[in-house]
Amino acid sequence: MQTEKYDLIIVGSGFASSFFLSKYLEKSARAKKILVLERGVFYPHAARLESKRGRPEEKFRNLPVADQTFIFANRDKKSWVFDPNFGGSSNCWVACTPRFMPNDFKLKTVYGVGYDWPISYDDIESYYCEAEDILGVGGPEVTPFPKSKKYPLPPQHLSTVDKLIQKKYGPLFISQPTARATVPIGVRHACCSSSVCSLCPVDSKFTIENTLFYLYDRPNVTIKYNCQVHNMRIENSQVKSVIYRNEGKDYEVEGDIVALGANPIFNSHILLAAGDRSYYTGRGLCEQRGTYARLYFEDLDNVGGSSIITANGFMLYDGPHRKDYAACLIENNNNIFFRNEPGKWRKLALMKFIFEDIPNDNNRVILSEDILKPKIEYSGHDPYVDRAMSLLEENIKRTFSFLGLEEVKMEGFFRKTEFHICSTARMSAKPEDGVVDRNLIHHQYRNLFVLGSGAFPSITPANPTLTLSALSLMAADKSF
Amino acid sequence: MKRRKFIGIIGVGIAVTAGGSYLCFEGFDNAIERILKGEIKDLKLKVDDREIVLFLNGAKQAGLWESYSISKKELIRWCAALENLGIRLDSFERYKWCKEEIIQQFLLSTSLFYGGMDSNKPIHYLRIYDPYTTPCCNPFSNLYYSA
Repeated sequence: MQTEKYDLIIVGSGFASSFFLSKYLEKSARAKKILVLERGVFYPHAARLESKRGRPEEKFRNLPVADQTFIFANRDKKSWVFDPNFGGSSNCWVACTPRFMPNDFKLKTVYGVGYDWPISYDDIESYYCEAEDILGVGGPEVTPFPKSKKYPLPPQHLSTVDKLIQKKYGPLFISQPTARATVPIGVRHACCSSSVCSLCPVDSKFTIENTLFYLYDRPNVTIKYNCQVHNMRIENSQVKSVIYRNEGKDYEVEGDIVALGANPIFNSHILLAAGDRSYYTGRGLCEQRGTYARLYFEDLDNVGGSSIITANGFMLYDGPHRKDYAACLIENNNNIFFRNEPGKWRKLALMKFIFEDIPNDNNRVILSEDILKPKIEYSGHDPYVDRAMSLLEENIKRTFSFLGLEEVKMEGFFRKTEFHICSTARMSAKPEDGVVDRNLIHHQYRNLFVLGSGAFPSITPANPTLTLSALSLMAADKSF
Repeated sequence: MKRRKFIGIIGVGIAVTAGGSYLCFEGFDNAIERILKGEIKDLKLKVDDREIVLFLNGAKQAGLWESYSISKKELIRWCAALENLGIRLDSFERYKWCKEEIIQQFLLSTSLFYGGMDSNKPIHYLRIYDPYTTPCCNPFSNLYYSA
């Protein structure tokens, strides 16, 4: 094995890592030497577009896909989706950036279910603002969550249907806060509703590549590709080095500080391989559950909205019902759908209903015989979600009947993924209740940060990216 | 064997062979064309046959059907042929979805939604709907309608 030494080693180059690196560079001396180990390759946006158009470059033809990177017995029932390359899931996200609600951070105290966070909404609020500035989020003036600063970009256009719903529900139904640029910003173009956000044809949504790539070009930052970290050497409760594999060979590199910024499956896998025996390490693996419903209108055209998802509804989100069943975030879609009925083509809304889940300790990441592949044991979501699902049709009819509904067609099943992997290294005030502290530092290994949505003690129905990015900013700001 | 019975068997054999050959050799493009014509008639849309041919040529050029699996193509081909023989397949959900997908792809490639969704106007083929070759093409967005 060969050994090098760095001031900071970061594992991964997605949101959690890049936002942490951004704040670390801002606060630390220029002389600090930083190494970023990325398991995948740099697959540029332009090359991804060429692949989509049927002209893939030879070197990008056989890249590993997420599904092949871990072992999971229940692929037919559940999937876990991410992009194992530079920029991580910023390459495939849809760029929805609602904040969490204040009560999300104290779910146990207020509703007696799930877990409290060791931080409050107020603790993270300024970092939400900073993350929104970096992401270039467009959003409305009035929101259901408190804000100390306006969104940096103007809001998206609401559709005809959105406007009626907003008129009835006010701040509980808003233009979706989004990192799909509503006006040109930096090298990003304004979103023009191509409605294929997983790979934006006009490079409008925020990606690490189009906004934060410069961080990796700094002279004191070295990024190495095709380097999968799979273990760490621990000495005297400190991480001494990380061990990574490159082209079949293992290397060891020493770092004063290590930040794990892979996704929650791989962060916990590295911890387990290094011998972390905290009860919660790897446990609580979960994500939101989502389902669609089609609302057919008697005489209401649903047109004129911008972007792929025009609005977020919070009418079924926070409230006393959370004592009994899961909170639900509503997304009003604006992609290409219509009725095959002349005169009624677009008298239709396609809404997604996304439920929070409660982390279950038996859903977990464990080691497998292959040192590069975590194994996932997942038995399903909490009945708290099923109770919400069983009431959904009734709640939809009650909430939207004023629009003149002809029919509501429920999809009737949960989608296989919401693309948000959470809670395998949860944050806690006391070491016995979690894996990391309020600044994402491992309770036991004090020179180790475990970043990302794995730290979420409860997951809320809202998209996690903004929150996990804000947490990275906060962790670096409070620690350096 | 009586002569009449023999002729009967030969007749049935010829019919089965002809029908089988028809089912086996019915082309995929013919099936798509037949589906489109049927759906357009049901939707009472004004579409000249030339527009369908332009769409089929455009689809071929853009490799539109290459994203369909072999089994999906075979399902469409066989079901369209059976329908043409007068066998109703309305309750076969998988085929119904395929037909919906095909007509939706066609309509998105025409002037219908970009021209105010007026079903009474003649509809023209524009270009194959593909956001990666023609971005900004959501016909229901604020670029085409004001809310």
